[in-house]
Amino acid sequence: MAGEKEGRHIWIHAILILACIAALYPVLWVAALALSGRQEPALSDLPEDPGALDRLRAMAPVPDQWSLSNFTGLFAELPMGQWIFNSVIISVATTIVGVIMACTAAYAFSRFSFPGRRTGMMMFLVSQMYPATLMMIPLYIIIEEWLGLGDHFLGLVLVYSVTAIPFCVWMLKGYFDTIPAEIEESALMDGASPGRIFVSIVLPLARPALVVTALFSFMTAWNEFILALIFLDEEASYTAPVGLRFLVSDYAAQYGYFAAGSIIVAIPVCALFFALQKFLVSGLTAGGVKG
Amino acid sequence: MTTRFDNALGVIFGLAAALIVLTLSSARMHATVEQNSALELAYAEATSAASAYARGGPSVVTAAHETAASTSRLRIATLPDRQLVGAWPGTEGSRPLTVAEKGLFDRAERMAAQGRSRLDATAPDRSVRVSAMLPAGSPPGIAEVELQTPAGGNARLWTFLLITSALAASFIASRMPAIAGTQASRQSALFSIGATAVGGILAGFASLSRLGHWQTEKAADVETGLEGLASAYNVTLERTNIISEPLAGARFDVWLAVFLAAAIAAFFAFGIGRRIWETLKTHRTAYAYAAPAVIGALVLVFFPFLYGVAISFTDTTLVNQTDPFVERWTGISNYLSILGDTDLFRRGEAGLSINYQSFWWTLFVTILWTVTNVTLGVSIGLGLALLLNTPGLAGRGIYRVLLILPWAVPNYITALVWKGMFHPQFGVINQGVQLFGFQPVSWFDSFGSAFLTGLAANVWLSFPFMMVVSLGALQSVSKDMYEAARLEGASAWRRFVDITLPSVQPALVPAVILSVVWTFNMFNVIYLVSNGEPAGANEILITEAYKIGFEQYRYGYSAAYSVVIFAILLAYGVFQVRATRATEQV
Amino acid sequence: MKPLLLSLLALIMVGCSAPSPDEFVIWHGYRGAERAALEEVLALYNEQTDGPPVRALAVPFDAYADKLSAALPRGRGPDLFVFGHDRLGGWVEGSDAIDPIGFYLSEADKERFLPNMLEAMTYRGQVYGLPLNFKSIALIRNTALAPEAPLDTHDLVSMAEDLTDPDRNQFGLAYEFANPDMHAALMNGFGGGVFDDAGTVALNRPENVAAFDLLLQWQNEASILLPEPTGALVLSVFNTGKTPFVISGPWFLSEVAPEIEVGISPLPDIVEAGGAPIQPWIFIEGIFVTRTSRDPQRAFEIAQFITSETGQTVMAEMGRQLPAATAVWEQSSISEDPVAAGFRAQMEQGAPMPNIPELALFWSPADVAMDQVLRSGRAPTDALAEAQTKMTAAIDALREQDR
Repeated sequence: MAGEKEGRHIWIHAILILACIAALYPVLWVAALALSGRQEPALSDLPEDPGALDRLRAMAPVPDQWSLSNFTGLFAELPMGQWIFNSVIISVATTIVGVIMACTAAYAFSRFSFPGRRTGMMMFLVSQMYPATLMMIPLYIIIEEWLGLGDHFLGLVLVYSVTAIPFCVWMLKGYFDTIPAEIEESALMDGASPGRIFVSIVLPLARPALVVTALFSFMTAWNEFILALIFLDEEASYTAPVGLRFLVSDYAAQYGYFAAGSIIVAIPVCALFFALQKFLVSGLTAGGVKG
Repeated sequence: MTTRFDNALGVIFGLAAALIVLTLSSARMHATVEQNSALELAYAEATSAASAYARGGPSVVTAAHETAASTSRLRIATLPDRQLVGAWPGTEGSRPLTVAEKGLFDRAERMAAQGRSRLDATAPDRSVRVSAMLPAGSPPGIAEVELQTPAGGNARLWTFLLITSALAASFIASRMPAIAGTQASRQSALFSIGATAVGGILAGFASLSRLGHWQTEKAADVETGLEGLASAYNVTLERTNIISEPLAGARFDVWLAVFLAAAIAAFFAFGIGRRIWETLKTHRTAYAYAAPAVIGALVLVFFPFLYGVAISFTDTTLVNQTDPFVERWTGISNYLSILGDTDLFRRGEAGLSINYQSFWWTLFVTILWTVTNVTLGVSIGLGLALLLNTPGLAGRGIYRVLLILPWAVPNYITALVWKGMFHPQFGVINQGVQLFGFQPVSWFDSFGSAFLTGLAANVWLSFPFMMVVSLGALQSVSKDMYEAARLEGASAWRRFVDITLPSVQPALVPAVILSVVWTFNMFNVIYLVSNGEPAGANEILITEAYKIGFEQYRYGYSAAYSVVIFAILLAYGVFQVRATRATEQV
Repeated sequence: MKPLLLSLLALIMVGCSAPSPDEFVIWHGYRGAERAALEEVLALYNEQTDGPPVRALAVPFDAYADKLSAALPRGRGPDLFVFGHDRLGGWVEGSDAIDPIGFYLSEADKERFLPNMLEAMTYRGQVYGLPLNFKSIALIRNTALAPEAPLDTHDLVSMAEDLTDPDRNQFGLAYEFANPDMHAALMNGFGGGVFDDAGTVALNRPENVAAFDLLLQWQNEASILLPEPTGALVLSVFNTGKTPFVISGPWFLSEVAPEIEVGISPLPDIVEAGGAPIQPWIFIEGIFVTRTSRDPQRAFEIAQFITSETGQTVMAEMGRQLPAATAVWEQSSISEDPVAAGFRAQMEQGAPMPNIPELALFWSPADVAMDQVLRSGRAPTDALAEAQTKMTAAIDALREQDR
């Protein structure tokens, strides 16, 4: 039995390692460019009649010279620290606001039966269907002119949260649906208030889905660039993706810096995911009865 | 309550609607006609002052036309030496223009450069400003008259309208229980809506014809006044704007008012308002929970959406975006022209070829793009999640983090890396192709291979998201059921189909639907990787809409394109939700 | 948890500072040396004058136009901004947000710029901005591989052919040839171009067909062109010595590897067009004053200062810009600089890019036409005729209401 399991695991490992290589390969090119100390991608120098080895070497994402100058230069030239800090603030705030709003809404849609429930769910779905590129100007009007929140992190946090909410609500609603109602009913019998049941019973059970939605909200805010650029009127309040765009214009693009910046920007996401993933696998308690 | 009473109510509604319509249209009409006659008179004043100046008249010209003169103002300025050579009221002689008078100079310069003899403007404070070029023989420059139009009359009309509607609303509110609830009410509700609409339309026609008559009279008045002026000063007047077509705006108001009145009538007649209130009270907990998210979405998503829909019925472009909305209105012509773009094939010297710029081709590509991407993305994501969910697998944490990297690294740079990897000469993909002894491929030269480049990049970018969602969803699969199935000897495939899929479905289906929507509108990857090559064959609808809006400045057409995209996705969404609901019930 | 949330909230609130009312703001798309130079000039101005200071906001160039297009029509823009002249017409017609400056201009002001500069800032007879610098593409060569600049296209092709060897990744000429912006240089050179003298679209002229034929000859028969060029790739091949010639602008030079010695010369004469020079589009950056500025006159004075001899000298020396003011070119540090002199020579034979909004309707049909001709082998006459039809239709759709 144990041997058979080991054998199966070897195949699983093989597939996963292949998948990791595929996932990593383009990223490694980014890293190679970042670590080459140059601004433009290196070109393979193939000999006259290239053999298989030469071609393999050309396909390996390894810089032909190593240097950290892209990283040091990036921080010396641009206030990347400040911008990443701003991004963290905005993204964390978006995650909190977005997940709270989504949780409550999803709970209502999952547990209560009320008129407009279907319409409401459909509305969230529908809200993703209108192309975002064309919402720029009306959003500008709302945030800058009506709410007066231009150049204000709060405006961005609101927009990002609302952008992320539809997915979060649908995801959480789907997950709440799989949590058996009996658990809440028995708690209700014991005299717990609905709010209490929601916070201390339902939410812990839905941890995997909460992690997914939190990660999603975070990413929505973390990578957004065009709205941030249009709203923010102060260099000190730019976010990291806005700042990185300085490096790639129609003219003079510094891809080396940009690659280094991209790697740096990816690190917090990976760290966050690494920290969150232990919650991703402990959802319904083993004793939970499937309805 | 009797049907007769309710029918009487309908008639009252009808009368109220007629009143509203009359008030609205006459307000608009009076305003437009007043404005136009003011413009004409101001122009007459300006031209006469200009010709008086040119004939060497007094350096301070008094306004010729005194009837509207209580707040009018005249200034004459010359361009080359930037002098103010005349002004009224006031007695200033010739002096250099001040910075505050820069506008005068700018307008003179503009008219001189464009060879126009007349420039009208309406200021937000209801004043009108008309500039006329100085006639030939004098130094280039302008005479400009600014006059305030009296604002009293329309304010009265608006007050009247407000009081009427307030009265009507309070009456309706007091009769609300009577309107809804009885058997007969549905009939009488229909009756009252009908009466409203008919009354409104009749009133609209009546008022339009009455106002049309009034407009003709007014035009005749102005005409007489102008002719008098012209003969007194011996100048030729240029007629460009004599009170024409103000009916268009009023007509729009009439229809809007009829529609609104009927809608309000329907709202109350069917007892919707009361029922909404009741429902809100009954389900207040649920609504309280859902409210923040719903309100947020309504404000930040639906306003922009409605804005887009409104624009899509106009021919708004860069150059006319500041014109009044009514003048840009073109109805459904944008939609007709998009959907009527059926020129799918083109006859060339090499026989029949596909017209890649046709809407239907782009739609086909978009659908192909979406289907292939989502299928691959979901299969790979779910597959990897299943593997990662193997109990007791070593190194899961590492795998998981490595596998989300494509999502974590900003896609701008990874998309460029993908583009670079497909370069025919230097790209690593072609190195690999040659490694196995094949000829290098020019990836962006044909539709199929260029499509593959985008597909590869986008699947790579999107599978981590599906994987994370699947990982979350897999946690709701009951381990006990697995064990039971295993004991019964069910195969791995059967366990997947019978236990895993049904369990992950509630959480996975929304992710699939949303990723269809997102892929359908995936702008970045197309734009950065294949950029629609070759020759626009790989554009998808969203990149097309972007180009029309931001490169061709045709905002209305681009908005209509977006609404079409929206409609397609909506149809898909409704269908998909129905289909999954059906399977849920089995 | 609560204090954490509160402090987060506080940070969100603080993350914004209300712009001080006593400040003039200028937006620009610069970074690196150009940005430092502009800030230096503004520091000089703030030092020399009393009253509210000027502050610069750098916006990533990528989406700079989007930010301006969102802000300008709604009166939320800056007091001044730096931008190329190519979108001037669109902004003037679309938003009325740029303040004409003819009122302030003296005769001396009109004389102090190189020819064509102030004209580029002029739309429908009114001047809207003060020219700051110009940018032009020219022939950039690696002097180790090509010691002499080619004088005409035959020279260029024969020199390039000698240095082309696709098997060793070597290409005689590297530039983004499929980019309509670049290709316009050939079209203009043949005497064609996008618009005729009356300003109507005239893509389907025989001159434009001839320009395509020449490019096709370079691509297919001489095979000297780097395939599928992107900006990054052109830079890579140049920096690794795999190409002697690049056609690009001054911005290209800041990324050239230090060991490579560069020569700048005007693009060669076209033998096929009877010796007429290749005529690239010149792109002129100017400073514009917005109508919503808190004090347009003061804003104009700031623009005057930046474009003055003092200001433009700093922009040229520190920011490596090619100044638009004639006086700066009389300084030996600028006029004797081989790079500056090379681009100046090119500018003299170039043509300013049109600044009418219709130009924006050129890119999309032109992209398709270039693709059809260069990739699918469609006849240039057909492709251009189709582009002509599409562009005319797009202009009609844009101008419908205007007539």
